[in-house]
Amino acid sequence: MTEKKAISVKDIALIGMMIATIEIAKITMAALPNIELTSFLVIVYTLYFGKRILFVIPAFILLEGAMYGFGLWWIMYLYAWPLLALIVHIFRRQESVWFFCTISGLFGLSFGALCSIPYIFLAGPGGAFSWWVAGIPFDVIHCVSNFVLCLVLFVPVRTALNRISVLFHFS
Amino acid sequence: MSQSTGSKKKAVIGIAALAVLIAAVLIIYFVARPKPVQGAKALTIEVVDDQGKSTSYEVHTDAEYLRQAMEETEGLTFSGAESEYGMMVDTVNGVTADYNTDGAYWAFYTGDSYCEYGIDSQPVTDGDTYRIVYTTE
Repeated sequence: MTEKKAISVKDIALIGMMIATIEIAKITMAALPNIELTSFLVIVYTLYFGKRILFVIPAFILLEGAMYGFGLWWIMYLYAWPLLALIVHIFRRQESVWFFCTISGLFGLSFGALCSIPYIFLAGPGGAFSWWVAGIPFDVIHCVSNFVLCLVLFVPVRTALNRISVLFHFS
Repeated sequence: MSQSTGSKKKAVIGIAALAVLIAAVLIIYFVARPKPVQGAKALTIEVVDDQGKSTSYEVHTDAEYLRQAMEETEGLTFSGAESEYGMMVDTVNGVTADYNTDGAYWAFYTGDSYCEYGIDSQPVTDGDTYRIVYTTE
């Protein structure tokens, strides 16, 4: 008779690996404007490792704050990344690569709008709108790069994660 | 076969949806993006040449000093020798004042007062008139 724990040692190791890969991907691609793998990794980790993403995203956000300071951008992270994970979780039964490429692209395109929310309180709706408009070219880059990265990486990463899930009995 | 058709359909829908949204936000961007604002200082620059003919220029500028304001003034041309005090203007609108020949020079005024500084360090103030007058001793 074994007691099933809410989170096992294996889960903790996996969560650590997920946080590390997201952070390393983010740091290595930091020089490229709005081209990032965080969105893609949040999508696949949410699809393949389910509830563990609930530990990964807060830890990633805390790590980012600890490394770069807890500025206004950090407030934006508090809801932007959980929102992406929530959307992916809702549509987790979808199997189309194109569907998740579209989700990833839409997230990139709306990232500036999401990040402008705090400015509604700081500078009013007009200030938030201006802030969003000024960043639209970067949102378009974010959208296209998210879509392309997801399209290129989704199938090979899905294959690898399937193997890992079977090998280490992750469900 | 039908699965492949369904996948293609999803691909087309996804790409089309993103393309429409990208076009929409780009339209918003080109309509509402920040546009360059007119300079905050409104200046008048008046040139009086060797024939006594006066030409006035209106310029809107953010320049701090007269030289930059002059450079931004459409229709006004000037040149001169660079020195440690900035440019010593000898030619304005193609008219050269040669002090060695007839004691002529270009005199700079702010309002009716002689400018205290060279054009590189003469501050400009909103609403002021600057006069560049061909003068002979």
